[in-house]
Amino acid sequence: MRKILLGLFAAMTTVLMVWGFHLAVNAPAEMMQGDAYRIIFYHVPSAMVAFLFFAVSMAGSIGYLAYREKNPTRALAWDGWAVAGAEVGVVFCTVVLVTGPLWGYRAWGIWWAWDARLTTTLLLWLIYVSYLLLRRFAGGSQMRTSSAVLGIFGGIAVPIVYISNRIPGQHPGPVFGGDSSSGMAPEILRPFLGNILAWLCWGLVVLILRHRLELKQQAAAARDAEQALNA
Amino acid sequence: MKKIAARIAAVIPIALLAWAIYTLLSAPPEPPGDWRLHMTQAQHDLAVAPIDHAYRVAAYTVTWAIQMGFLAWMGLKWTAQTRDGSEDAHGTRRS
Amino acid sequence: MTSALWTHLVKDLRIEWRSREAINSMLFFALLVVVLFSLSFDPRGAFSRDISGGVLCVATMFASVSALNQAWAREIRHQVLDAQRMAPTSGSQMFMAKVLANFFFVSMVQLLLAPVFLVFYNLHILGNAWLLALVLPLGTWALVANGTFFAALSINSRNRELLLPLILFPIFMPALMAMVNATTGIFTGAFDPAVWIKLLAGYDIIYTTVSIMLFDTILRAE
Repeated sequence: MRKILLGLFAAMTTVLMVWGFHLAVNAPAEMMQGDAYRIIFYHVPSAMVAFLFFAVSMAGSIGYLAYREKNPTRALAWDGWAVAGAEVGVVFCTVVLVTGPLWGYRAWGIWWAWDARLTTTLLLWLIYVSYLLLRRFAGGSQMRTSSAVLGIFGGIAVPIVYISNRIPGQHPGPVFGGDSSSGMAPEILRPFLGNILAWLCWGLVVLILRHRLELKQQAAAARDAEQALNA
Repeated sequence: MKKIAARIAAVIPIALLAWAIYTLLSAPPEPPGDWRLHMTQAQHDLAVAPIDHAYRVAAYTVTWAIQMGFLAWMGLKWTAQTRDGSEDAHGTRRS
Repeated sequence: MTSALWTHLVKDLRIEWRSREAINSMLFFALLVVVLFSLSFDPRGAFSRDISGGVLCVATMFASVSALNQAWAREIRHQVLDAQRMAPTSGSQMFMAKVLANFFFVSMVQLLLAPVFLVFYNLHILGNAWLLALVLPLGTWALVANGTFFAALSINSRNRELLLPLILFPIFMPALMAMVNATTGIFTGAFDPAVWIKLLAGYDIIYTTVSIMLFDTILRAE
């Protein structure tokens, strides 16, 4: 039943993605920028999805620690959301960090700036990559607990970084004008919102698939452990 | 069948990435900094349009390369799981 | 309740005083880093005062990591952690004692290194130099508290020494930014470092609290 639902959702998502692409390439020409401005239809939704999934990952870490002793099965499911959120979030964040400079170079002539948004995004990417590295390198049964703790530390760092970057001072950078829907013309708003919806659905499909994969791997590991115990 | 699917799944993101890099590298050069001395705004926009287009195509292609790459990686892990899982169910250990 | 903390602290300080291996290696490593930076970024240049704050902070960071990698080595060798798990005291007291001890060592290194640094960079501090006595300890505390916690976190990992900087540096970056901006403000006198100092203090409070709360979780993780 759930598989059918997921399949339907995936099909609907594919349709949405195609529609989103069609909207994006046919969006009306923007006055100051050429075709390159259409990068925002992939860049900004990816950023939103990435931040959302990092929040999911942090929630998963907290959930794992909360249920660790009381309900181990549920705790493992939460840990699955933690790693799925982190991995898919890193994927979307990589997209953001690659498409951003491409857009920035054409729009403003610079590849990078150390303003609040970019620094926070880069730092988030670094923190969650380090989270994934810890999961890979940490040994045995402590891996989930250690990584859950690191996930919490990382999640706390994000607002701190964002606030610290809003402090005016040493490194003023060009301001990212007119982000999101503030002052966006309605003809551009429609492709923008459409692509947000499409990428959100895509991200959810990938997240659910990754979570399923993680549950499978957990089951396989438990099976192996049981076999080793009974052998 | 699965091996072929896995191979295709691995090739697609790499091909997309190569296409994106090729698009970027083959974009026409930008007009020089003092273009206002040689051409009008309209001419400049005409010269710059293919560069903008190249960047947008590259950005979209890289996005899909990254997304497809992740899907391919998940697919590989999934098939590895199923392979190990099904052999355990028959009681035989993978050698 | 604080006697466990005191016991652990005195033990760490006494052991280190007898061998002095951590302090010596940290001191020399920090000196090497300062010299390397001086060779790489011209200290005679016009902007040397602007970057000297950053250089001092990064030198401290690299020097501390060399000590933090060994932070729990003694405890692992002598099964102290197992004993701690069985003891009625909370692990967070052992943790705080270790943080305090490491904080003391790194601060010693900074105090010994600061004159060398002032000489190499020909620094005349244009701002309020006494604020350094606030900024440097706050920044060092952020580094040492997080570093000691993550060192404990990565105890059972395969590449423990490699993993510690990988997971410490991203989380430490907000504190590094605050520390660098504050020291640059003090060295150049160009802007008021107060808001950065407040941010650093806030970072310290938040992360120390979370570390104390979660230390027992990772100690009893198995």
